[in-house]
Amino acid sequence: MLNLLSALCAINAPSGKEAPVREYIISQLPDDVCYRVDALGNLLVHVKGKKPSKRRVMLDAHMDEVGLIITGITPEGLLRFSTIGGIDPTVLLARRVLIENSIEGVIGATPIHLLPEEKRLEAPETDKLYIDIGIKNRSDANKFISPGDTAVLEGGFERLGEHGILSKALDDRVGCAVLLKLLQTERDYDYYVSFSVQEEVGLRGAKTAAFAIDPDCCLILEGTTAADLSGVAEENRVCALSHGAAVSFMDGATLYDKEMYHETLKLARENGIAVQPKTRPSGGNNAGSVHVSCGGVKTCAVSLPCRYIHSASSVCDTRDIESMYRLAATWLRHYCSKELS
Amino acid sequence: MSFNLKEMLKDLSNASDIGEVFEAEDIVLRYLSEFADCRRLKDGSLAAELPSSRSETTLLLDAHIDEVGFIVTHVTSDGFLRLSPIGGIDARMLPAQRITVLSGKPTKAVFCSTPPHLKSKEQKVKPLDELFADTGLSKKAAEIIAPGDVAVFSVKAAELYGDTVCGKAMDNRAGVAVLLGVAETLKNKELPVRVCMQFSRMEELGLRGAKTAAYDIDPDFAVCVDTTFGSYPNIPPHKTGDLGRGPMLGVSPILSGDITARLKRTAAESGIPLQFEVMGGKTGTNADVISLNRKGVPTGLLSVPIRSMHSPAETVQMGDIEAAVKLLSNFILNWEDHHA
Repeated sequence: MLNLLSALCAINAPSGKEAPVREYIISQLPDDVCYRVDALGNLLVHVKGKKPSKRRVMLDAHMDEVGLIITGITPEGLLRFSTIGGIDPTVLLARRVLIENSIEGVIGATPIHLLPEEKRLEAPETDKLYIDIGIKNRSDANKFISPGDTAVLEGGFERLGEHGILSKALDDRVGCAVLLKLLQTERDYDYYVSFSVQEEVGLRGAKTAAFAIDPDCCLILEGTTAADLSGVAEENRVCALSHGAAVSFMDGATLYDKEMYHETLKLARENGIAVQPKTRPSGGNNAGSVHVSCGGVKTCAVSLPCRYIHSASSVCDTRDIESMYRLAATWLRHYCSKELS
Repeated sequence: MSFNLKEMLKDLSNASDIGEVFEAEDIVLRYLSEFADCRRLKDGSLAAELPSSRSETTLLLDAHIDEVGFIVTHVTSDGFLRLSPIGGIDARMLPAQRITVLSGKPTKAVFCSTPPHLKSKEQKVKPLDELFADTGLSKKAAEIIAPGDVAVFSVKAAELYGDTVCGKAMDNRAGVAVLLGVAETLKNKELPVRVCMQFSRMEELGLRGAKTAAYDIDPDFAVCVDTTFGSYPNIPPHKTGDLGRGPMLGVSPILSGDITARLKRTAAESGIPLQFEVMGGKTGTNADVISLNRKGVPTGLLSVPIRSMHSPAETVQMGDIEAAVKLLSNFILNWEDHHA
């Protein structure tokens, strides 16, 4: 699983440019599944299991990551940019970026020596930041860069501490890795998987994916904010690393089906899988699109707790990935086999 | 050893030289000891004398070799670190920034970034003493990391377009690279002046190492090689030089007018591009203290412009470093004592 995750995190695919992740996933799909790519670029996979499922079950993870999009070139050859998805400018300052998978750049910063005392704790603003690719005038830069080119923050995959992983794009390559492993192993029942595009720019891909699959119920696998940092009060932590997969009852985009929420927690506990509620109704994920599609879909979100999410250095715990995988597999079997009440 | 200045600079950038970790010194020693007379000064720092001079006049070339970074002040029971800065550190660029703690076994950590739901409305950035770094080690952190351990930005040098190189510690490994380039240029030549090089420690803590090293070497003249601010949006243009237009010659009342004029003349005669950095007094470089060494040392200052100083994203152009090498080498080869 970690090899799979490391390979997926290494791929650069901001929203709208998910093709490299999709191609990698397709290359890893077993021969006995059917797949197609829809008009937006979602990868939709159907598994024909040994038994028919009691209902149409959909599992979803998004392929895209947050990134940057070039909006213009200054006369000095520096690149202006906007963010793709929500990125705090403090995690952009003095960082390396890779543009269109080929051009190295760096987001420059004013030297502290020239920063007036009263500005030293002022948050930087994204539209006052520039990418420096080493070119010193606009006409040369024009040969290599066009507005609309995209970039990702460089953030190599490495181990942190005893059980930690430090990488860019854990949100949501971890969901992709879990689903890919399920596709390689789970054959008991029929089910559908979507690897969706454009989650970071408004949960867009999942809309058309859910329309195409038209599921009875859906499980979203995500990465979510963990604020279990030293000094942060318990009620503000959202979820915590090493405490298991996080299950949502509400977030900024979805009020989750209560019965399914409790059922999912119960399933985890009955099977000895570490699990925790996501205790703050903030953020949002593809559930926001799926649960209101096709007349309504009962939807559940299971997330990997990630510190410093949407930066090039997000941190997660390998034991939580294992819990997430086991819970997803258990959930899948349960909802494929459970009689309708 | 074949000499490639760009590869040397990248190696120097990737090395850590801070506190009592001296990896960059090791690189310099490995290279210079093949042909120069290297010795340890009383303060522990590295000095080297170029061979082949019968002159009794000593010209000192100084470059500080230390870098900015952090020192661990506290390790929490849940695996987080409190750190203080070594040198000037901009707290605004720290969230989610990776560092390497140089304890017995180098340990990775990452500065915490405040999740959006915990951000205050006024959007102030946390100062370093309110920031934690995350080791992912929980209780075990205290077994591996101790207060007093130092840390540096965790980033590998990379090449950007053309001859631009990007990485940490270009301030002042760019200056160190200039000195190594000069040594390489002059190594088989008869020199009209005795050339000593000092790789000063603790510049970022207030020009401390240059003081003790220069006392030990006791030079007659000196040139400091450091980095200065490269032009960039939102920085006053009069405080910067452009990358790619040559090194910057310091002009200041505390610097030797004679050495400065000779460097300027050498550049003009050799067709080397040169920019000027005019300061009304102190330069903020080792030149401030070396000029006051013992009975006084006429001192010049040559700086390589870099962008994003004191960050893991410092950028520098090899052309500026190479021009500085050529300028200093010709300055030495043209040395005439009676001009001094």
